Amino acid sequence: MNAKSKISIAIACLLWLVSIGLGLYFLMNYETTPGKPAAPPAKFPKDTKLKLSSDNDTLVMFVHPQCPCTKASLDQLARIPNKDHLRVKLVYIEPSVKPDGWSEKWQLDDWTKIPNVEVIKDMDGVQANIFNAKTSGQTFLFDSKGRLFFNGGITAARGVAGDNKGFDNLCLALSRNKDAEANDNKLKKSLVFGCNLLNERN
Amino acid sequence: MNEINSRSPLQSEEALAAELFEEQRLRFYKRTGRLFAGLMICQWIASIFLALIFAPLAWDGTTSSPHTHLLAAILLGGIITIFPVYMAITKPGYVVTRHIVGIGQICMSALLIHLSGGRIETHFHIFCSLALLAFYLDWRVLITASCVVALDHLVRGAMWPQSVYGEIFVEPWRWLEHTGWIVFEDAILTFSIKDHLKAIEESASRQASLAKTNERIEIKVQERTQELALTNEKLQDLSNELASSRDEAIKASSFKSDFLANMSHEIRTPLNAVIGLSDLLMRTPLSDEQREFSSIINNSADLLLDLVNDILDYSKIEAGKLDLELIEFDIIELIENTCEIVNERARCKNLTLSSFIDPTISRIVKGDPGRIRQILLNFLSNSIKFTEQGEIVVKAMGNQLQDSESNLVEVTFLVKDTGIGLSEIARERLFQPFTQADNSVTRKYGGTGLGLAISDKLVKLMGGNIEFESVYGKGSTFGFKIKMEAVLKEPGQSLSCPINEFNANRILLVDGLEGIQNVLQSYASIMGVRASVASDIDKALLMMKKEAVKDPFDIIVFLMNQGNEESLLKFKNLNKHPQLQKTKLAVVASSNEKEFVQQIMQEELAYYFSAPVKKSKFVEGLVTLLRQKTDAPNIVDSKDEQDTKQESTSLVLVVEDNAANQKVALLQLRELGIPAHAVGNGIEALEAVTRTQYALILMDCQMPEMDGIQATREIRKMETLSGKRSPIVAMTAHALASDRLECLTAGMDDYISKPVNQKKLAEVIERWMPRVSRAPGSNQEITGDISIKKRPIEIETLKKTFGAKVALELMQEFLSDSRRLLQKLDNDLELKDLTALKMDLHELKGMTASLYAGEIAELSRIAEERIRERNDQNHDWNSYISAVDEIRSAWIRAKDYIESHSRIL
Repeated sequence: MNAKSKISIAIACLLWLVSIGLGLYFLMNYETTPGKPAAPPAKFPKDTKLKLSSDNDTLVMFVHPQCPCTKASLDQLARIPNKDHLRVKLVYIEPSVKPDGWSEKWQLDDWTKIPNVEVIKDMDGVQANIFNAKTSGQTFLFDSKGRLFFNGGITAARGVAGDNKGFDNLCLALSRNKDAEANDNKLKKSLVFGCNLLNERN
Repeated sequence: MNEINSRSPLQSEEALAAELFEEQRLRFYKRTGRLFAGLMICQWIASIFLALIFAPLAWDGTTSSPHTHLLAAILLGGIITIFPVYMAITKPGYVVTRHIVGIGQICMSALLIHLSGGRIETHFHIFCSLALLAFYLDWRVLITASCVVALDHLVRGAMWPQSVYGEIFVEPWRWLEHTGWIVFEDAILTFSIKDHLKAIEESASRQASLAKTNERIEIKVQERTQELALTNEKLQDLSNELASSRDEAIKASSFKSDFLANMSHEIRTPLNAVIGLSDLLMRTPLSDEQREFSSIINNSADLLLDLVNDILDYSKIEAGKLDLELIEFDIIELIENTCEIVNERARCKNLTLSSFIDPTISRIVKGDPGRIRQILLNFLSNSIKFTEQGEIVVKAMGNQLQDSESNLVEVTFLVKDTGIGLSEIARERLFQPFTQADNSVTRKYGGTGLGLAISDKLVKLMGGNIEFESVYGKGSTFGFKIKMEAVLKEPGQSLSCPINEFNANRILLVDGLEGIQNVLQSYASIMGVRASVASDIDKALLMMKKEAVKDPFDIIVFLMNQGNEESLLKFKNLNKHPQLQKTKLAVVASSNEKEFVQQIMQEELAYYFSAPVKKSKFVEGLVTLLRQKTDAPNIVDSKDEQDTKQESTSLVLVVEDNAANQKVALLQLRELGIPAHAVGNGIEALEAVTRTQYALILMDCQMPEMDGIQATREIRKMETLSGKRSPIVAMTAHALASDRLECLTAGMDDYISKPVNQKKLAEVIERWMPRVSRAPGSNQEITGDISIKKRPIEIETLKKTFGAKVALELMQEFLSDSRRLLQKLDNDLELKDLTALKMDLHELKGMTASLYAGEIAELSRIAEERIRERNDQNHDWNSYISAVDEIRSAWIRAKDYIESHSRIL
């Protein structure tokens, strides 16, 4: 190989490596960019059709059924320990007019069979608006009195299941001393990684 | 392997091994590069599929857009894939290529991890990638890939630890754990790479060794091929030389054959003339000195002819041109006739010659009798030459071979003598041509030294070998053993008597040598006759006296081993002994010395056996004697014959070259009481006529020097001067009218055809000599009919005509003359001398006719006429040979007849 070739290859190699680096950076950056956070109500909304459990905590998760990241949120949801004392409201958005590309593949099917889990269709995101959820994977935890103890996502990044701060905070919220009255400052928050539940215009 | 073999032969084995190793590695690089090129493309496509399946779209409410993962899979995946694939295809085997591939492979792992959402299972792709990168067999590539992993872990670990460790909070040493696993895998892979490289190195080394070996072998093969080519060239040259030599040898052999054929004729022809003419010269009137010179010339010519024959025979054998005959012949006849041929020479040295033929062997066999005779004659000739006293015995012993399907017999021929024997030196030189026992032998005994060499080769041609035993100073035995096909299964010859007829009879063999004693004893035992031996007369008399009462001897056979006065005296003394008065006495002696035989005949004798004693004759003689009831009559004594012939005053000249015919004529004239002179040819006749006025000239027409026709003309010329005329009567065997006319034209007065019997002669005498009174002669008509009689010779007629004694002489003359003429006929046939053949047949005809051997005379006449009819046309020599063979057979019959019926054997 002559010197010219060597130089060419060296340059190409360098460009190539830089491209890869940049690509991986942007990819990682995308994955670690959270969605819009929610401005949740302090208490369980009264105008929602969702029912608050009078005996147990109620976990409400809003998911976009088409979002690839939803799976990770659901995987995390499945990992929540002691779900027997938890009432889960899995709310998925469904537009009244389905756009092109809306897949009929239903990734929430298994959840319908789990006890204490209620899968609720939120037509056009009405409930999401009530709860002010913005991003798929948005999770709220209310106690039986309707007080909010967790607000955020439970995945590490977009579509990434596994240990993460949000999941840990949710677990902490679930394991709080429920008898303690002074829990107002016990709200746990985390970033939510997922697609927008509703259109921006909405 | 061909590529390996095409490398420089100067390259060392180590260098070749290194080169092969590098080539192998390069192949691995290229192959692995191609593998990864394919893999990376597959991975890229897989990542796009993955993204399409799991994250095809990103949603903003109801609005979708391509998911970032999909774009990443397509774009980032493409970036990661394309450059390594390009390098793997365009720059295969380069170091940078495999490192780029390594980096790309690990980056693809990272992308897949991202696309799978950081699944731990996807991390296995990294470990698999490292393992695959080990295919490059370059541990450095593993280092590069591992560094990319480390860098990825470092950056992401800092930015997003969950994606690396799966946890938010990571212990500081967690990176070590990950590093450790990577290092562990790298170590294992590196070890495997090293091992693999070592195996490849060894393989390359073996290949190099094999290649070098093949190279060396190839070089050797080329060298050998060149050597072979050179050798082939040399062989081809040698082959050409050989072919050329063979052609030359063939030419030389052909030339030799032609030379032999030509020289045989060219040498023998003048030699025959020398022999013939010297022989004829000796018949002319010569002074003693001239006769001596002629004799020397004749003998020398005979010796020279023998030498030439030997040399030509030897040359023929050497040239492989000598063919053996395969004809039926009688072993007994062969042996006995061969002995007869040399008997005269043996007798001259007072040697006893005897023969014995094993009665158990087949009499008639197939072989070459001529060559066997030649060998036996050689042995006999040597024995006679080298034996001063004693005896020579010829034996034929037989042995039937085991193979019952064939008729082969093994016959051993032996010649045993009591001669000087062979010294050690002589034994060594025995069969070498042109050598005698030693030079003193050559000077004393003469000889060319070819005889035994020729005999040796002849025996070898027959499939045998000459063997000999010899004691120096005591004697030798020469022999050979050959296989021949027996024609007659029954061995021996039939006896003329039943086997047991003479079991009670005894004979005593007296004196003589051991050899002949044994032979005659064997012959007697065949008949069943008991034969005893007494070494001398005194012992014989003692034995006779002892056995006289109980078991007397019927016949005493005196073996006169030496034809001298001493043995003759012994015989006479024995004959007179009173003890022999009632016992028959027979004698065995050589018959060729006429005076000696006559003296024996004068004794009172029962039987005379002529040596060498033939088996058949001895047996017949014994049978005759033993069957006789009365004492053996004496042989007719010639003294009984009364000579009553008157002597005539008129003289007749007999002009006849043949001695027998001459004798006959003289005797016939004597019978008629007419004196006569005899000369041998026309020239002598002229001389005789010059000196004497003959009353009658009996002229033979065909004579050497000057024939009868010419002599007549000359005599007539002489007579014109002298005025005196003698009648000339032609005596000839020619029977044609033209012959008679020729005689008369020449000046002859009358013609008388042979055989000239007494009556015819008397008529001629009466006609031309009327004043001559004939003495009362025998009134016996001698028919002398020339037609073939049942008897081969009219012995009785001869006896009646001439008396027993003269008949004996005439028969002896007949035998010796006819034998000589037969030999001449053989020579004439060999030389294809037509003129000599006719002359000799004519002479034989006349001589045998005169002696009442009608069969031979007739056969000779027929043969002569056959030649005459042909004149100058093509002559059938084979028919002439057959004719002479017939004459010879008739002669043998006559000879046997003479021997068996005249009591003269």
